[in-house]
Amino acid sequence: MAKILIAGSGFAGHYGALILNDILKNKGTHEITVITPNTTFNYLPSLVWVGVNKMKAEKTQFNLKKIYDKVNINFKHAFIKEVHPDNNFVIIEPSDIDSDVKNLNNKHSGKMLSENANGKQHSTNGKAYNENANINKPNNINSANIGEANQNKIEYDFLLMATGPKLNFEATENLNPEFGYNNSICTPHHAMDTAKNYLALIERMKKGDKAKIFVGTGHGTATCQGAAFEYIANIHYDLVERKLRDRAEITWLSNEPKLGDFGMDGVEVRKESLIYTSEMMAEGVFNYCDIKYQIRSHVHKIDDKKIYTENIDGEFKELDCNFAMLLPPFTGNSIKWIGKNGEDIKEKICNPAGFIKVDAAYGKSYEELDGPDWPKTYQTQLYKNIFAAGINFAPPGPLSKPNKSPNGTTISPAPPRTGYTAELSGKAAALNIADMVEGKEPSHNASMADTPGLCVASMKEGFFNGLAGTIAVYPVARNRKEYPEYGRNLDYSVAEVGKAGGWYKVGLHYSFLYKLQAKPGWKIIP
Amino acid sequence: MTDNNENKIKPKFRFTKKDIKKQNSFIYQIKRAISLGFIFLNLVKKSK
Ligand SMILES: Cc1cc2nc3c(=O)[nH]c(=O)nc-3n(C[C@H](O)[C@H](O)[C@H](O)COP(=O)(O)OP(=O)(O)OC[C@H]3O[C@@H](n4cnc5c(N)ncnc54)[C@H](O)[C@@H]3O)c2cc1C
Repeated sequence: MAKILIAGSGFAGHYGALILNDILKNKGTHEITVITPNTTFNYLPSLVWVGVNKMKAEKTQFNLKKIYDKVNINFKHAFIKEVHPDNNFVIIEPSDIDSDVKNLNNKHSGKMLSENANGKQHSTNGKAYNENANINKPNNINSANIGEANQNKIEYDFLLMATGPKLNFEATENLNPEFGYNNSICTPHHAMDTAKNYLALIERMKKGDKAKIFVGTGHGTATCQGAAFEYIANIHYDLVERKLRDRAEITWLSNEPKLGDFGMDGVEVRKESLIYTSEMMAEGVFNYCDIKYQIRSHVHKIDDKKIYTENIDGEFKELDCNFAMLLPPFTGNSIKWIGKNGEDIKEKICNPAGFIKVDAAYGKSYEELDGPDWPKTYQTQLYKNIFAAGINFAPPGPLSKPNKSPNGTTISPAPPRTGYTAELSGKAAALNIADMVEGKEPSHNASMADTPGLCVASMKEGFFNGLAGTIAVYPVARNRKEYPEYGRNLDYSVAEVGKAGGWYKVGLHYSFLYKLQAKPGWKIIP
Repeated sequence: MTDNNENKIKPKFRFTKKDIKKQNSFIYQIKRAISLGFIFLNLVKKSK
């Protein structure tokens, strides 16, 4: 019998758990346990709609325990605090987070953001609900008191780490929405607060106020530009619908080296004999929607009036701002890795940002890095029974060209690991664990240099009027060994705007939520 | 307000009237949805 622990219940961990459970169910009695601090699965891509008040947050969630009970997976409502890879156990700390927004309304209401005299949002108690803060709270349980907290020690034969990112708001002064100057759509509660602040801004605009709105990245190394692109387009079309667009100046503020880069070095599409790029798509959208832009920029600070930026030429700018949604950079979680003698071995396991190193070729320069260097099996090299998937694995380098300003500020988007990539890596890691349970070597490959990237960025809702930007690439990480000209197979590239993408976006929301609830036929949904 | 150095590099791309018409045409978009469906299916097959 194998004991398998899965840390995290996002795209990588939750899907990995369902796949592993399905494949092992007829192969002896194995025990699969998911350890996660949240009670719900959160479908983050639809939080864009929550943030403009077009969707209720509860529509993006479902209860995890119910699903795990149905399929016989153990559910531990807890944080992993320490991993002891030499002795094959983890230390957990029980979680008191109820991430179900339906239960949270009361708890949340006292902590909602409100406005101050300047019309800026401030948290009424200075600490709005923030799962991320809880996830990274200080370690109360450690090896020293394992004896008394034995119930918090869980042994494993195999461990899949899929704990996603820590939202590192602290990297930029005042970026944390708790301070009331920036908004976020990274968690259901952030997105709900953002919707409130956005609606408050609308009320002020209805009374005649003009607004300067900034959307993009809040740090030189942030990623997830696709989500921000989606949010800015949704704001534009929402304001058009409300006939308030002429009162807003909307600006895209990002760290991308070029527009439409999206942290993945852009996309090229062959159209007859011409090459069309995602840069042209983004420029086309921004021109059409009258969205201004400032790219190649790092954000140093945000306050109640301004955003303080530095661009790649080392120029500092102060931008007047009334509403901002700037995404934070990601780092790894604050989980400790403890060696045989109680020593800290995190440096051996993780890269400096705290992401777990797997079977990639680390240490190469941007110019040297190619497709075959990206991880394939997601197995850690020091401990063969530990895997890391989703945002939790350490990429071997960036996809976009890295850059520094003359002042030494890094302005270089981190590579995105989207929901689909997270799922594929979670699935590959799960199948590889199943291989090992059966005494075989890991044989499943989900390298980002062999798998596609799909991103459908909704812009406007509605069956007849809806619109979305559709981006598809194969593979995500350029593979020049395989495709010497562009590093990608352009037969599968898409970068276009249209209603068709809008229909797919809605389809993806429902099909993913259906599949991830393990409803009948879930396995045939890709 | 584009970034200064951005202005130096290239003129801004604009969708043509024909592009906008296609983006909003129901019939054209149904055809696109079918083509995209095939591309997505092929991509999904490649990730198995
Ligand atoms: C607003 C927004 C829009 C997006 N839109 C898209 C899109 O359109 N398409 C797309 O492909 N991707 C999109 N993404 C990206 C996508 O959501 C992520 O790539 C995906 O969530 C990553 O999955 P993951 O499993 O690695 O991490 P997560 O989904 O972050 O899951 C991590 C899990 O680990 C748990 N955890 C954290 N700490 C611990 C601990 N100490 N112990 C145990 N468990 C822990 C968390 O509670 C969570 O359950 C979007 C993201 C955002 C924020």
